[in-house]
Amino acid sequence: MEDTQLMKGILEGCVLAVISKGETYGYEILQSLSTYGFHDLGEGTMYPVLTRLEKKEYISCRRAKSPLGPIRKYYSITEEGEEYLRNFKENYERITKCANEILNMNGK
Amino acid sequence: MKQSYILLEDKLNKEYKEVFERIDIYGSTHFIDSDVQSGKMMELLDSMLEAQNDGQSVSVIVGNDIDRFCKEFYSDYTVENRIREVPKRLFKLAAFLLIIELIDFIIGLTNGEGILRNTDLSPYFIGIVGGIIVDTIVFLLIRPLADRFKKIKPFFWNLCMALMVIIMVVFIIFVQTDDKFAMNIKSIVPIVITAAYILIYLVCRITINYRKYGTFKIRTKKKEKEEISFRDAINDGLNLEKELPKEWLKDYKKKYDKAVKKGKTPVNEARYLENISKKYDVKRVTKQNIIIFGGMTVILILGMWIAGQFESISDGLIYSGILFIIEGGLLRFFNKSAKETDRIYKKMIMEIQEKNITLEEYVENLK
Repeated sequence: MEDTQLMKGILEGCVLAVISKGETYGYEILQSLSTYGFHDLGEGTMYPVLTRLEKKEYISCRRAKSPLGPIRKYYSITEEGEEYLRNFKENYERITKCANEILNMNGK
Repeated sequence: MKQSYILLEDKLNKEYKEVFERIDIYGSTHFIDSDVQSGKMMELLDSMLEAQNDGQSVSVIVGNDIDRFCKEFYSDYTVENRIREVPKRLFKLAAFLLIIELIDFIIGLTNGEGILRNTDLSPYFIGIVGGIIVDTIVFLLIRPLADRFKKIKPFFWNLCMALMVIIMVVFIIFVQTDDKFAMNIKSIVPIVITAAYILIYLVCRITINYRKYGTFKIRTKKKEKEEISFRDAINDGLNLEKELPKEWLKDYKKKYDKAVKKGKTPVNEARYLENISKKYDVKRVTKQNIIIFGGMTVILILGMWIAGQFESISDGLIYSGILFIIEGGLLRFFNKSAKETDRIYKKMIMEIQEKNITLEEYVENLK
């Protein structure tokens, strides 16, 4: 069973990392995350993340017509977003290193 | 803009559409602001269409628990958002009320009443009370029923809410006719209050925009130069250039089959296309529209004059003016549609003749 709290903690960083690769949109982000193993994510969980990132100005958004008809929101990372992502990666590496040591210690 | 996505959701198959409608009705019955809901649903629709095109199940987008999805999907629309929407909603209400009050005020002046004439505020307060009652019924009754009976179409729940609004309006009209509910006040007072609120709101909005975006202009106007409007997306999404020829082909095949069944000689394609040309001839249709709308307007106004419905000449002129504006708007809309249809038809005929293809081949090439 997926730990939703753990998921929520890292999802912002992961979504931002996907967006940092280039301008993208909702379904494409979902597909990218799925490729990396985040199955059953659903746009319900992703949309609030995108809204939060936009509010914090870590991503910017522009609207354009999609080939299928509806208006599509395209997301790009901002400078503040890139700085946040750098900090996130550093913190993530530090935390996972500590957590791995503790978890492996219990395993010994 | 509200529910502008409804015109596009027909592109979804049955599985997707059922889920889409459930999410839509969840938003409507949970009092999500219509602009916010429209934006979210439009983005969701885009994702659903892509997933559908990829042959994916709808669960890829929404997961297996749709109720949980709805809660998460709208979870960023918090109490804080709702509170922030209040000034904007009050602004729209104030603008509407100001127009009503000004029309009433001008009519009063033209009838010889002074600027300190009285007006009855009771309809506004009854309207507010009625609105609260309707919202309460939606919250306590409609929403739980919609959550429980998920198979029922959103149209039914929207109809229930619309009926309640109609009942409320009838109730307001009924109560207003009873003098014991009258709340008389100088008519200049609500005009000043609503105008003051509108002014304060606009000043605050301009100030916020300037501090945030460095411009005094309202942000949406600045953004519209770069972004596509919802209306353009709808028109392009519907793609009349593809849909109209498809409809003509369908109609031609239907008439052809019908004639063959009855043992008659079917109309050939060239003749059929010529008939369309006559049917959608823009000059003829425009003239027809002017006669219909113009005629209707004149008959309505003359009828009201003859029946003595106007208290004075100025009353009659004001109502006539309003009617002309409304009918003029409708006429403009229908004439615009006629011009667009004519353009699509001429483009189709030119390509059919240049490439020497049939209507069916033309429609096939559009895919």
